[in-house]
Amino acid sequence: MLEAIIGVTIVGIVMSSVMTLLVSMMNNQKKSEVAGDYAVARNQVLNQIIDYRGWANIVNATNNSFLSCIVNLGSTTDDRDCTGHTGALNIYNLKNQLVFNFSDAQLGFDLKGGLCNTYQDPPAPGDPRCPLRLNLQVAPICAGVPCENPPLRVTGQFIYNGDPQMGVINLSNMNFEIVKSNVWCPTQTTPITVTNSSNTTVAFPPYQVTSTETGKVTSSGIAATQTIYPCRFFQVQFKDDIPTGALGGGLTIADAENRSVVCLYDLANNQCAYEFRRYQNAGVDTYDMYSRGVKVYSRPSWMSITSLSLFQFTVNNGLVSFCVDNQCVHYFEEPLMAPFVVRFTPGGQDYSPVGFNTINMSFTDL
Amino acid sequence: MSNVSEKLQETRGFIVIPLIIVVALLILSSTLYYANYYTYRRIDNSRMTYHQNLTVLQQSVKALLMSPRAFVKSAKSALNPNFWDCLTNTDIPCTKVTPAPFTLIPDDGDDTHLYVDMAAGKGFTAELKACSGFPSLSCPFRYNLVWERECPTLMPCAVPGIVVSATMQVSAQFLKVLPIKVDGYKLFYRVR
Repeated sequence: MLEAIIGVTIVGIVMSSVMTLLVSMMNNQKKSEVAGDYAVARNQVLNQIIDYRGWANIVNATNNSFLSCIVNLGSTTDDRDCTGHTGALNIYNLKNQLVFNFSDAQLGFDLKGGLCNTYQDPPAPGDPRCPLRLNLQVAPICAGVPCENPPLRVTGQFIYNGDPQMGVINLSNMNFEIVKSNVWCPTQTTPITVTNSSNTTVAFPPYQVTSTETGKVTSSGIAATQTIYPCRFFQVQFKDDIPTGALGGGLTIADAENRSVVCLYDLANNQCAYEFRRYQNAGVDTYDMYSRGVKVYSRPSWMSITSLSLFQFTVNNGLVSFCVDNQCVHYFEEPLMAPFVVRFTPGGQDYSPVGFNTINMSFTDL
Repeated sequence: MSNVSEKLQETRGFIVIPLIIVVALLILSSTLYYANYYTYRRIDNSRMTYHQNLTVLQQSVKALLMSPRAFVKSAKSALNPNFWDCLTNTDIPCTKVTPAPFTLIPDDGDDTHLYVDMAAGKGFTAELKACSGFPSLSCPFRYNLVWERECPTLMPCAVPGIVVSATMQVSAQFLKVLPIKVDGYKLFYRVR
């Protein structure tokens, strides 16, 4: 009798311990499975966001219309202004298929990390078959207005509203934030050509722009490229013929016939945003750089320039720099966000018979 | 003989007890096995999540470096001394510098918001929140951003190429809990 009681007691203790352990383990197992499956779901969503190839479709999608400010690079400043443009992001893949429609408030993930559409936001009781929600939001990163071509902050926040017996599932470590930039750049018409608009002659290849004006003039003419978008790496290089000896000195930058100008012309604001002004200053061949009409830089004293010097403007996703003979001597503080043209204003024909020559333009995607 | 028989009679019921103990141990060990299995699976999921977080950090840093406003804001900041002045001022010649820490600041209107803070002890939590106290378990990651100028051999070094590079560091305490490799999160960005 005694041995039976001891046996039953031991069996009872062991069974009770094992049952407690099993229940706890199964609960943890379930949570682990859920977390694991949701890690897979997170992985799928993040992979789509990380992949740049699908972003052209994402920003162009009608149900991501708040991102039209990113797409409207060729329109007005107001159209390009992304200030306050936030919203739920819908994810399209490379093939332009809607992969995650986060605008749908009932889109969720099931216990295997698959998509379902019966999710309920708390405090309403959740559907145990569709208990997980990802709120995916996008907002521009901007300091002021206009907020043109900004980087985007994409945030993902997970919410669990399923079987209450599962207890609290901590998903905060699955939330994420990622910054994206350069998600869209319009197609660039190629090759980039130069066309004369007034009082100039344009020859090619390579492009050469000369003035048709002789004698002392107030304007020696303009030639310009087609529209160029700043969201790539773009470079224009040129030589500028102003024979020093022909001028005889005595002229200043105030004398239009003595001046040659290349400017990156901002089409949205109709002004020279970045400008190279070359002139003879009492017989010294020199140049100044202007940013929206304000002088920001002059030729460094150690640098000599001639008619053979190669000048270069580069626009690297809006960051503008100026180089001479492949030595970059100036970065401009204000980035170029608007579409632009390169405008060439050569010196008058008597002073610059060869004008701007050896003009070469190239661009590459980032 | 009868003495042995009596002894067997006395211990008969207690043969069951070792049997029960063996069965209990078997159940316990299999339970522990499964518990370990799910712990391992949880760690595996954690590793995947952390790797993804580090990819997110790497891509976000690159996106901000490519954003001209964030780049200029960072370059002009007093937190990155000697970076910007010679790029814009004729009177300040650029010179070759030893690689220096580069603090990355998004242009979001909040000057105190540093995306990558290179002050000593600054880093990221496992969930990529900014933290102090690196290297530690609670502040296990640091993305070391450095910048340098690519100057030609012959001076003057007019505005040269600028390179920002980054390497990921993980605290030893974190590696003891979750060994992960971070060599793949290096970054090299040349500003042209």
